[in-house]
Amino acid sequence: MNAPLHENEHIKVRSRYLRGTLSESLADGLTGALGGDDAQISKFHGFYQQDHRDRRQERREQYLEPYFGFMLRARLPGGVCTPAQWLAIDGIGRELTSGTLRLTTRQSFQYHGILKNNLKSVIQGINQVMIDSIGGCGDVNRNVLCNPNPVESKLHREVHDWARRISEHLLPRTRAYHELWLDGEQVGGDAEPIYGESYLPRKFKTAVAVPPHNDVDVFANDLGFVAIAEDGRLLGFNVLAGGGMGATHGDRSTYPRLASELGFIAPEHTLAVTEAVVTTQRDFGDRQDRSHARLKYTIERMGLAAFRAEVERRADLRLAPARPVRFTDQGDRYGWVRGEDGHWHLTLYIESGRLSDGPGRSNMAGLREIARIHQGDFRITPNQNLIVARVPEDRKHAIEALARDHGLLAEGRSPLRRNAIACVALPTCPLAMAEAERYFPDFLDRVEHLAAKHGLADQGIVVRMTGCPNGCARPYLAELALVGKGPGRYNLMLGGDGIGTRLNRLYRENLDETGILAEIDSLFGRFAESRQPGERFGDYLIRDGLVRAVVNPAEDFHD
Amino acid sequence: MALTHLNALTSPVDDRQLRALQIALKDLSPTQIAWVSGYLAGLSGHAVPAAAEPAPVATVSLLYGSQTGNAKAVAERLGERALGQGIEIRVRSMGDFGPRRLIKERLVLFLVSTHGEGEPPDSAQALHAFLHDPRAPRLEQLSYAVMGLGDSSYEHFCRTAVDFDRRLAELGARRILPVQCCDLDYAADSERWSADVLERLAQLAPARPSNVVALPGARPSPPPTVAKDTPYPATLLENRRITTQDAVADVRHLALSIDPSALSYQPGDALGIWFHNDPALADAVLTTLGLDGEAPVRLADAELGLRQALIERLELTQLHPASVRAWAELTKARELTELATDAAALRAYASERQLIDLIADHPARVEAEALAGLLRPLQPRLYSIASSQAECEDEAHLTVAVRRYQAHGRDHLGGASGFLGERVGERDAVRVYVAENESFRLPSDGDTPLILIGAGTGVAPYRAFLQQRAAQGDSGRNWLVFGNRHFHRDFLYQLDWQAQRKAGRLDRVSLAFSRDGAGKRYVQHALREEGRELLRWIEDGAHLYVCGATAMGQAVHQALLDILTTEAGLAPEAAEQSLDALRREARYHRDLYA
Repeated sequence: MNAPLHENEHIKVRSRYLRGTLSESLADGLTGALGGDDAQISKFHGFYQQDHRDRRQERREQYLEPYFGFMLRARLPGGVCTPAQWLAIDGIGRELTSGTLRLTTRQSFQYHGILKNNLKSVIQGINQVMIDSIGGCGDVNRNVLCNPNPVESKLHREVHDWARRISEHLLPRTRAYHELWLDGEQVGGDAEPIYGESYLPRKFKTAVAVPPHNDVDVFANDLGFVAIAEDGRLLGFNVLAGGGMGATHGDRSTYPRLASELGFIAPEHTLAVTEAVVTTQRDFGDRQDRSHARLKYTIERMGLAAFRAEVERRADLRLAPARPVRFTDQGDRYGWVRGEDGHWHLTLYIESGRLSDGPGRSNMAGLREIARIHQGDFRITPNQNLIVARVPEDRKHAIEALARDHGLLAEGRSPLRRNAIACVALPTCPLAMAEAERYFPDFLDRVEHLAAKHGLADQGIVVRMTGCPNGCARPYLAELALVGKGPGRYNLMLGGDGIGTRLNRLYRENLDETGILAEIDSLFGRFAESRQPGERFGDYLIRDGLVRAVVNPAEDFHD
Repeated sequence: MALTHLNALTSPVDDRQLRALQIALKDLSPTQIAWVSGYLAGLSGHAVPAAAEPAPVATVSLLYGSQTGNAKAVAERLGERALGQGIEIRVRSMGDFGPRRLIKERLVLFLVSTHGEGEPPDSAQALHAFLHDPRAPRLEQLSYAVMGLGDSSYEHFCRTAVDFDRRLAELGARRILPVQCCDLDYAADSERWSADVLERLAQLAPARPSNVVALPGARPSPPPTVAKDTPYPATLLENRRITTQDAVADVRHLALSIDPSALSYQPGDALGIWFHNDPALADAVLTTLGLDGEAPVRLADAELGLRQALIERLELTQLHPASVRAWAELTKARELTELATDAAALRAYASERQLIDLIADHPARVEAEALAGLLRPLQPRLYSIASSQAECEDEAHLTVAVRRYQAHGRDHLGGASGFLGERVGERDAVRVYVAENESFRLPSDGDTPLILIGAGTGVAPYRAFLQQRAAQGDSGRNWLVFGNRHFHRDFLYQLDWQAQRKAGRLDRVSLAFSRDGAGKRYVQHALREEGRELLRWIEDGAHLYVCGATAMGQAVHQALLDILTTEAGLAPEAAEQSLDALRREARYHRDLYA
């Protein structure tokens, strides 16, 4: 452990609680980028410096710098917002960003293409409707996921409230965000009682699941809470720790990992356990090598028992044995469902979470129209969709009509497409190695064609695509995933269980589209022929021995 | 070299000596005179004791006021020829001439251009102001001649020259030749005037043997082999668009390959570009008028086919008011006839149109020869050079906005910009010459701070300035004030400026992108916001440079005046004087164009 600290650790400490030289960077008109360390620091404020990668070469030839624009991710615990907030989000998006909105797999929304000069206006704009972007990115707790359970209204309220409280408990305490963006006074005297001046070694993700639904992919999070309820009443949570998706191509010491069960707690211990897990990671996490800095590696290094003991010591409690739970799905339940309180909830289908208006598209306008007449709330789902929640009977018709007019309904889309998700990737994401969102619809057309060919059109196989191995679309939990390797090249991953409790495994490396489709064609053929009644695609691949199940990814993921 | 014309007034010898000399030389043959002249020259080199105070010499002064280098070039050629004829002549920029010296001068030639709305070039401002002051001294001892360079499509054609000529006469000076106003195609007129002047000088000024060395500092540089009428064939190396596809302006960075031994320039200079008109435009003219492109036409120096003449020799894209007037007579169209009586309206009409607009909207029958006769000879266009030879010796870079627009129901393309941007291929030759711009030079002291204000392609010379300063290792601070439409689309040479800043040569940058925000913000707004800082720089001895469109130059001038009144607390008149002083001290340089 005598290796030098990673440069980012120095940047954090130098930043004086996340101030860095952001105000100087913003004032510099010669570039649309941030200077020095500020591109790192900005992440803690929720925005990421990106550039339009399709235009890099062209602009270099024009003696112009890259087309810098910023991606800003809001903090929206559990993905819940009001129609008034939605209208503000939508208006700011059209006026001050590239004009589209992107719903994320972490139940938030992203703006892309914000010019440096507009950052402050965007942040002030969302702040006016009580939304911030603190910790949208960066080495802190990210937006807290929560199952947007529309049916069990009372339980959802209770569980969502815990998601919100966790989010707030783990918010950075620095005043830097207020000073820089909201013209807050410089009061000084900053302290970060939970994080300290160098914050966490790496990002930290938290989710709250309500079984039997695993739409939040609770096992993919650093910290997971699985609600244990009885007759609609919250008894407590099974606590999970050490999940994470990210891996590095070619680096066998990195791997995705499912969170481990720590045990059961009563609801009132939620924040104490949360803080104990976070501070343990703060103190024991790897600050030398960022590719091994997530909690999953800390737990592997410490051992689960030692980690659990440390958490119990810090939280000053004993974790009870975890309660048994059963998950049945990881996708969304589209269409109308009626809640126990009599309200209706409509889950909309939003392809790759992208809301935009343009030729042949008006889903952004459609949501705007709905927000104008809706009086309940909106819930962004972890599958990049959106629920129009708490609709009284007499509004159902009007909202459904708008949703239909603007192509927001899932009906007419294949089960496969309904379960599919993709990350943003090119042209904005700086990490992308291959296309995802832009290519995914075409790819799904071809997969649907193969499914139909083999009589599998009714199968809701979970298909996910990411442009790099960092895992924004949680690809390693899909039954079939493509992880970008290079332009037009993907690793084909197979063997998830369709409910988010089993990792998939690399099946073929570095395939082009033809290669991918040939493999899928052949596997679909075998599946169609040999599947058992009700058997899922991923389960079949394991049973038939085509793919060996990942048991302990630290040891066998790369086998 | 008519000795008989020598007189004591204009020579160092007195009447008695002169008479003796005339008697001694009276019967000598030309060969003998040549020998004697050499003998006397030898005497003057050896025999005259250094201590001997020479009698005051009545030298001819040739003062030029040049903005683009044309007046300077004519002046230098004339000076060279006068020297060649043994006339003692001193060629100087008006900017280097203290106006009060005029009282002591006996014989002065003035060569001056006129710009914009009848304004003198920067270097002539002080002299012009001196003469027009109501308290200007009488100048009865002075003989003079004035030649002007201008553009007859402007209302105040050669106004500065006319002003000089009239005012000198008012002050009692003796005019030795009528004022000569030369148009854009000034070669023939300036040549004729030069010949007349030389003849008059031969009568008035003391002729000295031609091998006498001129006074120190008075020797003009030898005439360059490359000049406006003898251009250099540069090779186009590169033509790249440096605004994005969605930008309104199509701005090109052009790199031309040159031979540094044939063509040398300094930062601030412009490159004169000879161009050919668009053949498609020539064809449109021919079609519109039903003329045969092969029909022979006689130009001043050649006879060639009409189409070729339209492409290579005649002005098609800058319509001259005289052409409109001539066309009016041909067509008898009422609109044009009325226009011809209103000079301002006529000029406005011409400035908004190309020939094709005129002839298409007012068709007439015209013979090929007549058409050629009513068109002006094609003139080169000047573009500020965007590179320094200290950085790349064998290249000259230009920043050219390709003018492309819709008007009067048809598409238009700029003459030279269309030629450079669209018709010249890589490796093709472009005929160029250096148009010196003495009033837009870097200060000789490399420690001097610079404030470089430019909008659009007006930023071009500053790229040259910073390259030059980098090559020289100058330590003076540099402040770039740049404006254009959009940050993301039109930030000309953004990577260059970033590299210069990184290298520590760009200390301050102020930007105004007029279409990025709600209100239109231009360089003058950016300047006003930094008034205090601007004053600090000026107090530190900064030189101010302004390059771009005339309107922008006026707006910047006003902004500077405002800063001097609001930030420095000067009265409006004092602010004007303060700027005038900066201009006289050659610290406020402007390069503005229509």
